[in-house]
Amino acid sequence: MLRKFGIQKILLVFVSVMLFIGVVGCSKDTSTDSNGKTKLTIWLWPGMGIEDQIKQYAEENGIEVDIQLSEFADVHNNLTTALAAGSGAPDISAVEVKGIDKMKGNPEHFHNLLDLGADDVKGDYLDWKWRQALTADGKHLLGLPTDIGPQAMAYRLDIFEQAGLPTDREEVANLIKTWDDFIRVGEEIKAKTGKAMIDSPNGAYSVMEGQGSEKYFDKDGNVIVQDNPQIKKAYDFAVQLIEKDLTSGFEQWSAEWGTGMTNGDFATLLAPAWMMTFMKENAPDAAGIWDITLLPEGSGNWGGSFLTIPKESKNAEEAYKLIKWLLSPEQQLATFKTAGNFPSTPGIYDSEEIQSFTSDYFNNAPVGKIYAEAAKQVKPIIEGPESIQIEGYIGDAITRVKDGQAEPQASWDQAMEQIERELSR
Amino acid sequence: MSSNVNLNKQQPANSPSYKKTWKQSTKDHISGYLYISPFFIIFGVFGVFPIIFTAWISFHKWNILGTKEFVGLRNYQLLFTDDPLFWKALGNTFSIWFISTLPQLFLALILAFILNSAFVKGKQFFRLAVFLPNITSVVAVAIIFGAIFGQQYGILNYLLSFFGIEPINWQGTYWGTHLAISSMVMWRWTGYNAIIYLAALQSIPKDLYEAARIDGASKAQQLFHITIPMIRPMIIFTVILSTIGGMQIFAEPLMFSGPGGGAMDQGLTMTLYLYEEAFTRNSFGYASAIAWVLFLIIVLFSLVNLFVTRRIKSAE
Repeated sequence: MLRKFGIQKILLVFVSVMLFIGVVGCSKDTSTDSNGKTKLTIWLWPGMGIEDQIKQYAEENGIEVDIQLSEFADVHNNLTTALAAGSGAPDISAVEVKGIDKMKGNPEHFHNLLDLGADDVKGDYLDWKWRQALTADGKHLLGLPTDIGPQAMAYRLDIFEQAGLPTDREEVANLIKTWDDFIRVGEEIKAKTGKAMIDSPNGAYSVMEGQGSEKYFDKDGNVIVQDNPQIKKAYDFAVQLIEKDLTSGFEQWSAEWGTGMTNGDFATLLAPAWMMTFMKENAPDAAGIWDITLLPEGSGNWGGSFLTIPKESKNAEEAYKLIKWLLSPEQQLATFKTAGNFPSTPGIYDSEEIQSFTSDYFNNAPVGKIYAEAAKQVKPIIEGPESIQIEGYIGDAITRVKDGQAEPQASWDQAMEQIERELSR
Repeated sequence: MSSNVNLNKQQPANSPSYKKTWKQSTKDHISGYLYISPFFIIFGVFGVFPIIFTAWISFHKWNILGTKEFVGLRNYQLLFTDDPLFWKALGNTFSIWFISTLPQLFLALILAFILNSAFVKGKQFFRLAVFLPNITSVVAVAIIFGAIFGQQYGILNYLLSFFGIEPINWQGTYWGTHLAISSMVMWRWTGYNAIIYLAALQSIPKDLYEAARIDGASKAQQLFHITIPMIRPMIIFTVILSTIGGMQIFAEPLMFSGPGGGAMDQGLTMTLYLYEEAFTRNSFGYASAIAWVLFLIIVLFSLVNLFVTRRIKSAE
């Protein structure tokens, strides 16, 4: 009798410990909710502009969605950690182009969308964009393309007028055809109004590096930062802007940057299509004072994302149906109209709806037409697995020069040293 | 540990069916260990295992998603011979710790004196008020301070402009960044330390002061010969607490200087560097090596601290 009781006690303690660990350690399986509906967890960052459409789809198709927004960098870091841990990844996650290049080294962590029937929609998308999410052997597709980032130039009507310059889009584009023109006009604006020409030298660098045909890696995966003339050109241009005092000194994405955007502390802002959303949100009071026109020396691409389905997802079929619908030309058009993120589906660029789409914020500029034109000028470009870090180091090098903490050449050398050291780890 | 349990054992003398397989004391030992096992199991899983696993990882090159490649001591070798950033991070951490801790503890002491003095009305309110910064979200604090220390639209530069001082680029200079981050730390922890000092002040017996007054001691003499010696253990305690906190400073520099610690790595602290290396650059092997070296540095620092603290105590 008592002996049994003793063992029971031991068992009880043992079971409670196990239960406790169980409660702490295990997460609930959330692939279906209590009504038996399929539930999809989706990771996005703010500004993607597709939340409402996802909710609409969920309602129409009788599924549940759990949209979780985190900061841009956090989505990528969290996803990497969750994939490595083998649990915690969502059913669908957004990944930016530089992030997807990193993930391509380990495609086994994602469902191959080609197996889910993605070949059928291949024709809808830009070929270069499609290939960004495709492994080198062409057999594994990690994600479907969301938007692309064709670049244009936003400019302040009031500052241009004050400086006695033309304010019409066509005329401004003709006035600033090359980057040398850009400097010349900048000096004129500085002399007449005292305002800066551009928000930040880093913005100029990011835009210009995207105008070449190569960035940091060649097509065989070799690092070519030091030898790529386009990178050096972009760096030297940023330095030139600083030395001629044509930048406003704001750090991009800082709170002050938005204030400067509202107050008109700088005359231009080089803007990929997704920048329109940031401008509207950061400087809502400047509506109608900004206008937009084509970029000097042809456009390029900056950013753009993909929606992926991590291998851990138990609802790959459902998730694929959702992203296939969400990233179809019709829905990308809807996203463009509400958020400004530009479609990656060239079939609709010449459609009436894109061509005639204007934006109140940008003084009724035909932003659809302008970005469609810019998108056609984009040359396919390889990002490469470590491009986020490399871009960060060069960006730091520019900031050091801007803050007067280093000479341009020394700062560049330091960045090159850092890149070499970092990539060997 | 289980020797106490033996005291209330009961012998099953009147039970014929009972067979003794284990001695009662053995069973008591086992149950004793089982009772304390939850702590050790959880500590083992969440404490010991990660430490050992980190050591193992530090001998590899690993980007977390791919396979581990054994590289021996290469990570440590790189860390000590070819990594200016690590030493910079170390320097930044100590600099920020020093700038923030000294004035912080001094201010806290003054605040505690004021709160403890007889002339203050509404003490409860002020006690709550000085503690409030401590429970506000550190991210919210960092955003507000980021706005205060802005170069062009910052409140601080605006105020300084009345004294004819040119706008200071807080974020783009070493000392500006260190001062800004230190001020965030001070804002958050001064009240906390003041409350600890206040408790210490209130525990000093009143008759000591009375006796001193009768003997003709001045206010200053009372302060240096009664108050300070009486609260010395608490001062030591807060120094140790702020040392531990200072070595781990992370959220403030991350929010103020951005990931990476700024263009000159002026806001890069040790933990921020570790985090960047692991979760942004995905060099988990290297980050693990940093973690172990950090661990050793903190052990060393704690030993120095202990030694110094003992000397202060023995001076009493």
